[in-house]
Amino acid sequence: MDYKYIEQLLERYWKAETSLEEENILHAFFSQGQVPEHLAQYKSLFDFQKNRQNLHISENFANRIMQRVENMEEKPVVAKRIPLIVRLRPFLNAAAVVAVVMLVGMAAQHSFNGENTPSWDYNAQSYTDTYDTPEAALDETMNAFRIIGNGLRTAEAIDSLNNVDAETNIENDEANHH
Amino acid sequence: MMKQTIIKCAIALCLFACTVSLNAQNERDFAYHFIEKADKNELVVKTISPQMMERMLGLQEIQENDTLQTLLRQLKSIRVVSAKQHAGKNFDTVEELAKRNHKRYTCKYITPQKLMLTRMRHKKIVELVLASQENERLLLIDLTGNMNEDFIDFITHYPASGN
Repeated sequence: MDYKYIEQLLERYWKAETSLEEENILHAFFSQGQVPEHLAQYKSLFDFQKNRQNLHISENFANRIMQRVENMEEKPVVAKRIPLIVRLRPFLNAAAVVAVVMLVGMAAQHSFNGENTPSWDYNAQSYTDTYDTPEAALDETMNAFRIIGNGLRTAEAIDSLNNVDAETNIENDEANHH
Repeated sequence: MMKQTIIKCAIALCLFACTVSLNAQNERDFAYHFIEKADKNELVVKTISPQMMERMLGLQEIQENDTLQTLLRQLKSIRVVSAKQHAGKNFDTVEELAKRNHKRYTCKYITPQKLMLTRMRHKKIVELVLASQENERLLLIDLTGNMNEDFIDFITHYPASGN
């Protein structure tokens, strides 16, 4: 069988030069059961097109769309108010993580250092040096040691006097009892 | 709800920790407060800062003397305040300050001429204050640092004259 006519129609079809009648001829040709082997590769394309032609939108499609549009108009879009706590939640979470890390770090530092933790809690910036050289500062330090030493010896003397007084009182009490 | 409460507690703890750490080294010594209250024109103040204390440790004289080195390592600062007049009035100011801060400072002893205070922290003496008045002259010495019993023993038996 000669399929030259069909082949010519196909060539023009690819070039988009066919009329509607000619395209109907092609559809009719490929919709038949037997298609020659060298044209079989095009059959699936024309079958697909034929199937697509059978698809139609439902009769109430327009009504359904209109109904949806009306529903949307009935419910105006209202901006949703987000509470401050919700807006800040990422920052709060981050702060919580930092807090936990800091606390764990401080606890670890405290447990590692133990009694070696520096007790000195004075502001170093509040001390302005009087002396320019460490030698002069050392002289003043030794002088301070001397005076403080006198003070501490006084403290010892007062302590021992108090102890003597206490012992004397105990002895007097015992003597009175006898 | 529970999660939010936990987060809030964590933030509160964080703020507390930050405040504590910021205040950790923000104290002023007794002498500083005395200077603030007294008439500054009457006072002569000599200060040895923690930085100068570090420099003193570098002196050859100290390097060769282990005892002094150990003692100076326990000191952070020294303030010597002297007033050549109105000793009585200034001594009263010292007493008043001591009374007002009785929770902070322990009075080691008090006589009409002398007053000694200590401030303890973590079982160490962090401040030792001696005020004495003699012949209308007031002298206030304020040592800060981390002083232990050995330090006090050494100073107590330190010769009254000469090194």
